[in-house]
Amino acid sequence: MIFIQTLVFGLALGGVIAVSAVGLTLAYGVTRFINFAFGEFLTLGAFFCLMLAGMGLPLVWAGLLAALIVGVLGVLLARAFYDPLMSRGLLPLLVTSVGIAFVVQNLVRMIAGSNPFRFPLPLMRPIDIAGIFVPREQLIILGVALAAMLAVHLLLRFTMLGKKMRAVADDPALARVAGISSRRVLDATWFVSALIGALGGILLAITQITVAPQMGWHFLLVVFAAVLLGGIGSPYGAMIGGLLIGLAMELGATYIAANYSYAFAFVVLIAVLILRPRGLLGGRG
Amino acid sequence: MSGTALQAQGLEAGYGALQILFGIDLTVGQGEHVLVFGPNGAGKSTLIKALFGLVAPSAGQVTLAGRDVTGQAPERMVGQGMAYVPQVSNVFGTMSVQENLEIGGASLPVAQRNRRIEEMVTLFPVLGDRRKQAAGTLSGGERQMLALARALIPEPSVLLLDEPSAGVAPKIVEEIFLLVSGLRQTGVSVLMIEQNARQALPHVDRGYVLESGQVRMEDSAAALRDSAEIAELYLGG
Repeated sequence: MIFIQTLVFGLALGGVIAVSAVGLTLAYGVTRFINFAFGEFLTLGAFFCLMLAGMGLPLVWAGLLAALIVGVLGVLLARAFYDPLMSRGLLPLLVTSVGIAFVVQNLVRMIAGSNPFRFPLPLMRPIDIAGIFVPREQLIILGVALAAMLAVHLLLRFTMLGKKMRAVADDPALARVAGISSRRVLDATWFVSALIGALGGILLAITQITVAPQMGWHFLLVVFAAVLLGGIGSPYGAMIGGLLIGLAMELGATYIAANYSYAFAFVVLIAVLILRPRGLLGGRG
Repeated sequence: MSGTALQAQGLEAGYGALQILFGIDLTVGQGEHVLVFGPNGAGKSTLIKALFGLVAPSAGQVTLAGRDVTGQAPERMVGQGMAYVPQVSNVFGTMSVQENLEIGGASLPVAQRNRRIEEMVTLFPVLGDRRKQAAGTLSGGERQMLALARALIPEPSVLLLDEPSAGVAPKIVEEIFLLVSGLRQTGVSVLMIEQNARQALPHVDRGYVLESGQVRMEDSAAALRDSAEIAELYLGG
């Protein structure tokens, strides 16, 4: 019984991590740099959702609108701070993204205050399946996460925009030579990355029940673990990596020690990387 | 020959303080196939990159059917009717053959893109057999064909080929040159640079010999092949 329940919680948490990891790894694949401000997309998503819900919008619409707003903010942020540095190498970009992370985090703290908010989730009766207690929130999280990943899959496989994104991720120089304007592909990538990040943040707020200015920054470490586990730059790897990390965290917390769930994420990560240094689906060197 | 497809006048280019090209004059007629060859370090690679805007020319002019395109970004060159096939890593290895072709036609309307893909698959039947296959798993020759097909999808007026025989098994090299030669029927003009001039020359109309960043000689392919000096210096006897 407890095992199945733990699995459900693990899959739901894994779904949150997986969605977030897809957003991070997509941007990495196209831009080749790790956006340390990605966690802030999560935070902003949760806070905008909270704010819009507070203004009376139904939660679903508040969530969708929040994700769209953060998507646009992601594009503006990248245009203002990342694009001008693209030709300067990785280090300036990394340092800038860490700086942006702190600025955004503290702006949120300044405006919203540093006390955590309760996420306005309506009370839901858990589903009782043959004596197994399954909270509806967890099922909703898992469902939304799977739907988001399916959407990313459809985008990458079946739309020209997605194919262009994959082409730029595969070989930016060749993409340019083939006539693909990296400008538009970059904008689209940042939009999708930030939008998915915001969605991950909203789901995270549902799992944690609370919303706090540093939530995204703290969660970023786990998201990194999933990205690396799956193979950096691989969206499908990030999906698998996220689910595995979520399961490891919940199983470890239930059966070994509840205070160390982050540690279990990294035990799995280290174990996999010893066997497959490029991650599960990271093919290219 | 009805006109000039591509022309370079007094083209100079280099990398920072290092100048590689010194006043290159070159023309490719409409439908003409032109070979640029010469020793290593002659500037062949820089020349083709300067023509396509991958290296910004420091002086001179590049015109495409009379329009000045000097130093335009490569992604814009494609829209102007110029296509370029790099020497190595010229396919998207993680994407399927079909997707590589689609990327070639990314800027075309869907119907036209699909029509062009079908035409390319007819021209290169090997690609039709491997549509779903990841491009990274193709042989050297097949990759070269895919790269050619991808570049041809937008119906360019000028095709630039950077060492099409590189990374191809020796017995396939001739096949590649024959394929390029066969593109005459489509009317596309070709400018290719080749290390393997001896094998490439019979398939082109005209050639330029590049040495130390300057055009050393220019003549019809037949005349170049018959020239004793060329044979001795560049074609290995």
